[in-house]
Amino acid sequence: MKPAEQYQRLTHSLHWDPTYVSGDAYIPEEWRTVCTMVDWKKFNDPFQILFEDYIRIQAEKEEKYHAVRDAGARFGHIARVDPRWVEGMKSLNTGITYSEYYNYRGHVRVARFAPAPAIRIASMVQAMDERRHAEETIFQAKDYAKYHSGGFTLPKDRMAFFERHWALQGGRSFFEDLITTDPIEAIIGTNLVFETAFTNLLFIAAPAAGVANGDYGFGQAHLTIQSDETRHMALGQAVARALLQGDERNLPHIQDWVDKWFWRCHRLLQGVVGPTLDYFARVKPVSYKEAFTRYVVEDFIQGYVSELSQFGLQAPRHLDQALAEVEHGSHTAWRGMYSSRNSLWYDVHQPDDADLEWLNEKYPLFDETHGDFWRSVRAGENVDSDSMPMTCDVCHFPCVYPHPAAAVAHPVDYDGVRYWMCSDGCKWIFERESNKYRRTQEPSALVLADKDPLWVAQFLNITPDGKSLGGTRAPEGFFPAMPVPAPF
Amino acid sequence: MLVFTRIPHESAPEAHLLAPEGATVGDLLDQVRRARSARGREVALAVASAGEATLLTELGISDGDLLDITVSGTPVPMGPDEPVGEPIDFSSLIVTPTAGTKRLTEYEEMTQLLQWHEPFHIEGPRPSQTVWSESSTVLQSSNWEAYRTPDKMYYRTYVAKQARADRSVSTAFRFAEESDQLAQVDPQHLEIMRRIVGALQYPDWGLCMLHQHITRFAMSSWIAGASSFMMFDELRHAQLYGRLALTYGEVYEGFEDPRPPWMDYPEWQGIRRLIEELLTILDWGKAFVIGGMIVEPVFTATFHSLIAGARGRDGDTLTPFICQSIAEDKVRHRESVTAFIEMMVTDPEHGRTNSSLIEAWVEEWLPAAVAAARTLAGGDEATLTMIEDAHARVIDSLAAMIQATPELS
Repeated sequence: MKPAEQYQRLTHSLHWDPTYVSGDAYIPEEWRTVCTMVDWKKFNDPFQILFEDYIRIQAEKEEKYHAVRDAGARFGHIARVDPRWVEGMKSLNTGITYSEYYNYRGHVRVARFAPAPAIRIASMVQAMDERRHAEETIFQAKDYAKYHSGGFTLPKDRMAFFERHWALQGGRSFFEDLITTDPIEAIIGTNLVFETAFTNLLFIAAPAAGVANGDYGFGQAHLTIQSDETRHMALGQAVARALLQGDERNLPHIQDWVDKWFWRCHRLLQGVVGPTLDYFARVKPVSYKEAFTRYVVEDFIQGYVSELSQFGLQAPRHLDQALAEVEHGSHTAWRGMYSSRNSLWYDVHQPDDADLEWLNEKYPLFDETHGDFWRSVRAGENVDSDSMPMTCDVCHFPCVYPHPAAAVAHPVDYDGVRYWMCSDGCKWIFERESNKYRRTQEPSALVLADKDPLWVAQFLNITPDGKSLGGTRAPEGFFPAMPVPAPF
Repeated sequence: MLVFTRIPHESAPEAHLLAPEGATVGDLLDQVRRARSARGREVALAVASAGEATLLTELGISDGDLLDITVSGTPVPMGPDEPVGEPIDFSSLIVTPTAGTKRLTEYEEMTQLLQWHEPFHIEGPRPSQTVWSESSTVLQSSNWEAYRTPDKMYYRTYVAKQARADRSVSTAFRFAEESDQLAQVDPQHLEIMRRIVGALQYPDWGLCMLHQHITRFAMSSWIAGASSFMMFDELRHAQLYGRLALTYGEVYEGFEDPRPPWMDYPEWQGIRRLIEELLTILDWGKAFVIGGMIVEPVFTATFHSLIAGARGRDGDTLTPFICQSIAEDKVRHRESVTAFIEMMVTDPEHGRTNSSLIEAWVEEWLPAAVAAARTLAGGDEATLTMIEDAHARVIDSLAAMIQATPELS
């Protein structure tokens, strides 16, 4: 039997159509996709991997990854990673852990409720990959913490930060949105838009910067993660193509989801990977703007999306706004973090002369837009944030983009409440599904008003009157002791 | 009352919390003036030149509004921050690890605290728009984070273990093929294999799907971790049974299509019905208990007795080897499910309720599972005995666990 036939026999043929229970009991309408395909059973996963092949390949990958990791820990390479980069990892590592963990829990739902047998198998395999990636980042955190104790979040504290800290709520809201979608939307959002377009920024550009700054463990972890992502990308691309090709009624759904997740990914990655490439990296092999242009614009939009234009798919609705924002996004994020650095658990540095020269070279509008801010800082002016920002009700990032002097804030009144959105993209997302984004808790300024001071301290690392408790000036022992605050 | 302000072309919106009733223009401007973004300049509302005593509501300003601020005067560079208010007692926040603090195992480090808690940012009106919810199972726990699976498996150890297991299994398949072993199997065994082995992939694939659901909705990373490895094992089992059928199909006719026995043969229909009904359970806790405590043990005992029992082994050492490899996984699974049920029935707050629920599920599902298994076994006495043993084990282990419920003993 040929391998392809054997694959079909051992995967697709596992599926049967139940006859003792109704189709609605087997996959309730609530959990079903709105997409249609004449015969879902004919859809093929391009990678076609069996359990025995997967487990063999992954075990080999794990051995290689841990060999590099162990060597780094044993011979102290991690101690020699550039200190600035380590500060970046204190935040990025926590964020990636939970994003991978979400994908693990989210993709088992796709496996259970997707209509095509091939999607079910591939999504389940993907879920296991994501579980792996979450573990890799925890191993990394352990290694960093062994050599860089000052303020590094240890695994036992990470949940508290992810659940409560303002700097991680953008990521949290992104993944909560993704875990509560139509199953095919989850594939378009995760596999097609997030992984095909955006994870190259995270798992190729960022590791290049990590290695350039001495972090071989980060490079190894993320390149091995990216080898799994290749499978996920292939699935996302195959699903989108099959749906667009198979039934023209799918086009509005696919376009809608591409538009939505393009904007959400742009918002998240700009705020997370942007500062990593442009600021935390002392040696900067690539700017965020260059990486965005190469991986998102050239590879994804001009390559993949253009190729699917034969079926009517168009470039993402808010692409122009994203391109305009990329000129400023990482700088706006960095300024925001610098002003709020006393409530962060990692150090946010003032750009030095070499940084400024590089930033001006890579971003022609940098000096005109952000130069005065850093000149004020150099002159000794206090730019520390002393108020709560307006926060976008969709992406949960502060309404500061594209840059503070031109910050966008769109109001939408829904069900008697005024909501604020940071961009056309987030406003569009809110208006198409307002019920989903209704506020589940008051804005932070109100939440903080009624809370016990210790609770507030743990929520934001600041006292109710705005004084810092944390940052790099936190008392020794403060962060590792932070318990998970009780829900309110 | 929450009002936002910004200085156009200069600063991003900032939040100001004012009294719910009676807030004036002056109250708001006081806050704006003190903010660092004002840089010491005079400030005014851009929309109205109302006096500072004017109520904001009189100007039509309400909760959630964003107001533009005009500034006049020369900006003053802001100096170092001065402490305001009572200093907080840092010592109350710092916990020094005490001697004897238990060092976490790698399993614990890789599994703990990965599932976050409410309030969620997304909590839409539809069930599918819920991130995680206590109402996803009728079982209740005082502490979902307390669960530990006895196998202490995490991804690194899981893939290492199963890669080793699959190397052995591959060797067994290769040995059987190269030695042409299946050409000499006992005819009676061959007939049983024709009737049984192809369809065996379906029940385990059903369990796999069940664990997909459990892994999505389980209330802690500890439970989801155990369930997800069980899920992936069930894929392994389904594919091993399938490969066994393919290997037989290389030598004999009658193994081409596994579907007819599963869909049409009368002896399989009780099992298929039960698996299909199992898949309609959306309560993940109930699915975990029924799938892991009742359905899997009774069915696996039946299947393995029929295809790998002592009677049918003549000439076929491959099938018992494969079944043994599968059974080793299943033992782990049962221990994981048992640990879950023990946690449920011994819960200090909810143990009694949980026990009643689990007993009712066993009462409803165990007879159906046993009846379906007996139908498949037909007159095979050895298998009927195995089914009775499996039945007794479920009853005994449940009784032992219920006995351990403090409130009931």
